[in-house]
Amino acid sequence: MEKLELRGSPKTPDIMLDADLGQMKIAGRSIPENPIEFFSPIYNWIDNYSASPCSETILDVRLEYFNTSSSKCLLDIFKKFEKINGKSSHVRVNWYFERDDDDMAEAGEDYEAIVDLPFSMIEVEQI
Amino acid sequence: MAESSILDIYKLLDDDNIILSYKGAINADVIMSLISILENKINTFDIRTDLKRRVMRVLIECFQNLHHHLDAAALDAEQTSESNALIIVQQIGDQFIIKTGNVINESDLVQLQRRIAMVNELNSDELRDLYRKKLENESFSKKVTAGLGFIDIARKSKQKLSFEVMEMASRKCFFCLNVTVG
Repeated sequence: MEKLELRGSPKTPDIMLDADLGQMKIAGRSIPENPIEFFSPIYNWIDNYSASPCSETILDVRLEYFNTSSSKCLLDIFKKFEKINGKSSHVRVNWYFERDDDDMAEAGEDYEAIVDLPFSMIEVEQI
Repeated sequence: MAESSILDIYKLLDDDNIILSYKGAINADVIMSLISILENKINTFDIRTDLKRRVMRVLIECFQNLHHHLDAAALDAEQTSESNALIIVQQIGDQFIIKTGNVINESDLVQLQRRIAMVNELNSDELRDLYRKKLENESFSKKVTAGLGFIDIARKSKQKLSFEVMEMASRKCFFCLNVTVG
């Protein structure tokens, strides 16, 4: 399965999806007003990956900002991985946030409360 | 316009520490340009990093929320989605005041006021619970996004939302949301 790599822009994040490594990385900022267009190829990739995933899947989320429109899209991504977790793959989410960034830490906790996936909250000096 | 009145406007903006003022059409590109101008400006300010971050997040949500409202109003009226609006960002010491104003139908005012009052009644834990509930249970739509918008703005600004309403002709009014971060 082909990797999906998207370079970030002032309103969209860097994306790296690697089926061989079972890794998904999302980093930067996600503030498009209509994010569905941006996230659609990512949803498709995850659907294809879910057909035969790695035994372990790691999602690295290192976001600086995301708007409320993107928050729903992020949830949809987690929901897709929730479906395969504990069945065809063991999925883990690494949620990064900058020291002092309580809002981003809380956002991670919000997702952790909503989706049935193990989250590691990782504090870093700089995102 | 007479020269003196231009100077008056300049002085008014300067005296009130307005770091950005915009009146005109709003679309996604204009919003992104304004965000970028403000980000560059705020990055030069000698203020705490966490405040910069919080101001930027609230700004983005306020501006996009304004655009969603204008878009929805234009759809209802079968007009173009580019509408006129007013954006003012003021800095007073460590406080930033974000004002976003637009013309609305008088008939929409009650619902808007009710939604703001509902958000203002909640404390931070209740806001968080409501945000989670809305995020989890409601499907994606512009309306839901706008609904989450007020909650998100209140959560991140850590202040009650305030607004001003001025009556206009033809059953319209000018609605201005004022959000303080600091």
